[in-house]
Amino acid sequence: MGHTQRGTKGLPSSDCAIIEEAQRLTLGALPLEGKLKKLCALMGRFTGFDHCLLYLWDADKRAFVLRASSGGNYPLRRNPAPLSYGEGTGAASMVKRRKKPLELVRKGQDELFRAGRGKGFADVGLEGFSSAVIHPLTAANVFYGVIYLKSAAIIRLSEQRRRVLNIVALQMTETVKCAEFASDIHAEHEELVEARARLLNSQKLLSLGDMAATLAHEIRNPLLSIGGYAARLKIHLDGDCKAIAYVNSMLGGVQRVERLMDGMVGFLKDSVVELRPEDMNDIVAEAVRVFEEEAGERGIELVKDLQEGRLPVMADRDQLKIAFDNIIVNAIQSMDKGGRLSVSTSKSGADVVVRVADSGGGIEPGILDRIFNPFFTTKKRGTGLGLPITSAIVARHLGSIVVDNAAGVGATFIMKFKFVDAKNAEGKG
Amino acid sequence: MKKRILVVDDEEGLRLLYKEELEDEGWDVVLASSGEESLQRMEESGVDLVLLDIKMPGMDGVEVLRRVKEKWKDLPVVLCTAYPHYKRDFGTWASDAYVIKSSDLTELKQTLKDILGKRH
Ligand SMILES: Nc1ncnc2c1ncn2[C@@H]1O[C@H](COP(=O)(O)OP(=O)(O)OP(=O)(O)O)[C@@H](O)[C@H]1O
Ligand SMILES: [Mg+2]
Repeated sequence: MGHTQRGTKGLPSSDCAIIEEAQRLTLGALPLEGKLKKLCALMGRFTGFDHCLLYLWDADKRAFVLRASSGGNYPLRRNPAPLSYGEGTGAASMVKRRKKPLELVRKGQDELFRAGRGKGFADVGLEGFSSAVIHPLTAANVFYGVIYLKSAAIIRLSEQRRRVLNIVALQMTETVKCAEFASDIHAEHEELVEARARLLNSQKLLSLGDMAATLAHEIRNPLLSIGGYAARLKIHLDGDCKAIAYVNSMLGGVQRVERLMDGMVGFLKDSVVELRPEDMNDIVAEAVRVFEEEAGERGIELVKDLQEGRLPVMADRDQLKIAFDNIIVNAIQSMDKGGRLSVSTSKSGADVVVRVADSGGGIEPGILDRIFNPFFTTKKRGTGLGLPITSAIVARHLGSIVVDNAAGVGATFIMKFKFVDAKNAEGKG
Repeated sequence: MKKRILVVDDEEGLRLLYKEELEDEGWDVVLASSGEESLQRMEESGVDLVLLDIKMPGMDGVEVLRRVKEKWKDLPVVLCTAYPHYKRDFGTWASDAYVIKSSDLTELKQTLKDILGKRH
């Protein structure tokens, strides 16, 4: 090696130092804004342009948006740099189209920099400058934006400088790309964190059940006192007395809290499953029977379609009945003008499938992901605990529950349990 | 003859409420505020049914139930509680009925009627 040291790509060491600096900035730990600003400053410095601006292409807005800049202390500047260039305007759009850098130098007193007229584009950002380079930022055929280098003095880039500029522009592109990637990762990470929070929340639910049981006693006794005496008070009031309305409202309030307690305690009550060999057909038939009369009264056609023979499962009969109850009650409540409720069982591979379908218009799509949340309800007198309790019970049976929602038509709740053949069941039961 | 019910609950307000409500139904009501006291009452005066709160300080309802059934096998006991999971508690199997505390006393009264009715 001689006096002028040659580094990578056969460039003199001073240019190598620039590239290395760009690399250092790109890989460094600075926040994105800081990195971009320093890269702009570096570009301005080694090219001799006193102003360097980075415009990124925003595909949603269809515009170039100013993201970073450096310099700008020149006397000629009359207009502040535009914050953005719409699609099709400015030198930026021309560079985007041509995918090549654009170099502009004022000749004499010509009007080139009067908004770039005569060059096939208008660009107020260039007005009053004597030279400019507009360099595209592209990687793997993806266009990210442009660099504007602007100068009050006339500057002509040497071939050498162009090469260095190109390399630094690549570094800049890399920085932008990484930032985008990082923000994608960030978004995904957020999603994961959220999913985890949801999971934790469902575990919290179980301890909510424990708490409810402890609270139940403390709350139920005073409630009984309030409600019980309010009812007695009512007996002592004259039929047309205004206070009757007050007492009724007290009673209504008390009953509401009691229903809430019933629901909450459901979590605890069912936290221990006693699995025994059972016939799913039998459990479903029993659960449905309770509603036969009510369905009839409400003009609901009740269709029961059970798989022939037995459907052996390991189950806690009482609990499963509660689970099916909740689903059937919801279905009936959704059909206030009558309709069709169909309950079926079937065997599908190793699964026993129970379906409850209604024609009550289905669930509004906007709330679909919340219906299993505790206390989520759209009903005036609902507790919002029906579905969470059901899903907890199904989960304790190692089963699954999903809803097949036909908005405007009806909802179908599908529960799956493990089919257990007689021999296995005998062993465990 | 009027049937006599022993109400066992540690809360005075509730004892009085039960007393008034059950007397309105035409029953005789005796009160006890603890498990220990309830056993004493049963010894002193014949009762036809015991309405028993499970959760009480000192001797709790399940313990009272055990002792009652040991001594007077046929004396009906109705357990009353704030939370339903006692249903599964082995100690409660011997009770004749089980009611969840609720401000609507209809279910309780019906249960008492059913049991007292059965025994002439
Ligand atoms: N079959 C269905 N058709 C339409 N909407 C339904 C159906 N089942 C559930 N939903 C919706 O899901 C919500 C939550 O149901 P969930 O059973 O958990 O509580 P709830 O029915 O509102 O209250 P509760 O069960 O205490 O009466 C309901 O309020 C309703 O909006
Ligand atoms: Mg419901």
